[in-house]
Amino acid sequence: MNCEEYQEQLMDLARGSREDAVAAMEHVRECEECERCLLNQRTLSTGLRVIANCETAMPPALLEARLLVHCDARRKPFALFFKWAVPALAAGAAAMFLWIYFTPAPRAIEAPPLVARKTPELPVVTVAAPVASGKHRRTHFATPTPAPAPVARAVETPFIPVPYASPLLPTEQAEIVKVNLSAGALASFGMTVQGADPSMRLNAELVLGENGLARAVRIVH
Amino acid sequence: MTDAHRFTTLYRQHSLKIFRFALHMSGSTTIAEEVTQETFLTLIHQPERFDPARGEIGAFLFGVARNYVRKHLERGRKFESMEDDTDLRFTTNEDILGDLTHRENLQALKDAILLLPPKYREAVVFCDLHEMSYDAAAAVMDCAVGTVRSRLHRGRSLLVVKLQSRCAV
Repeated sequence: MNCEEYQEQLMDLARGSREDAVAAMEHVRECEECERCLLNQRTLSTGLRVIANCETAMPPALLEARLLVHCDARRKPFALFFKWAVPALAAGAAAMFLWIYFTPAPRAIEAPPLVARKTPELPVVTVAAPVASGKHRRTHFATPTPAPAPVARAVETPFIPVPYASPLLPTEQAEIVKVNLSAGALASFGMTVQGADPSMRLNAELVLGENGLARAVRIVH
Repeated sequence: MTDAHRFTTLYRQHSLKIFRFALHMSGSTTIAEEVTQETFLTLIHQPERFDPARGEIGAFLFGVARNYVRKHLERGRKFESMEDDTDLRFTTNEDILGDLTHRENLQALKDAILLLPPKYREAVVFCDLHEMSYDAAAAVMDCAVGTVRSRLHRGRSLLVVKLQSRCAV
């Protein structure tokens, strides 16, 4: 064995990962350079151990809360939606078409007469009506659907950039996540709600960048 | 992973190690915080990347954190690394490491760790600062046990040389 090979053993000895290195220790008695190497390795191990044991840096407490937001958030990946929505709608339409044209019509039952009516306010839909002859005929008629109930619109504040985050690039894809957070957690994003109890839950929307980090936030009342 | 409780348990178990690993590798608390966040976001958004058959969750998280640290180091190039072909022969007979428990010398040692080339720095951080076994470090660093040992030896020798040159000035 040469000095370099002995010195690897001496390193293990100094680190405490090896207890028996009889040959290396015999070599140390004869070789001044390896003796100095063992001394330096021992001192280095002591220093490294002190650094490891005296380290006091901790991850910030808010980091856990920020990650829990991601864990709980109802994610709305718009890119995924557009990727799958069109094929899904096309498949649904095709299935509807096939169902209409290939469902056998009941021959024994007389179909009720259809009255074509036009009501300008109502939407026009297309359905197939079974007839006595067994053939299908498409008829346009108005469905008496009830008028939609007025929807209460949510009040939204403008998006406020998260202070510590880098701004969203024009080419960067973003997604909006609806969350329900305490006022205290919202404060970690730089959104303070005046007069609100820190434990009060609020609906909010987060803009997440491609790396999943929050870039902006707004409150939805 | 969507279960907040399970996530909290995992986070509290591993976040400190991940944070300190990133801190020792980068020397920056900002980078350490970002790496910790990105590592756990990966676990939240891509839980399928963790395969229990390939190892423990801790090793997986260290592996993810290691990749993010490397990206940050490549982006930042904050430190000018020691040359890999540094002559490791000792140049003086003094006990030049001196009393490493002295605060100033400890800071010099920390600075010297940050100047190591990343592959040697990783070995020193995992094996010495995180007291990992060679086997565990090899699993995280995705290399053979012998490679870890030789990188650690090289890294520690570079540290000695760096501290020697500091004392010689």
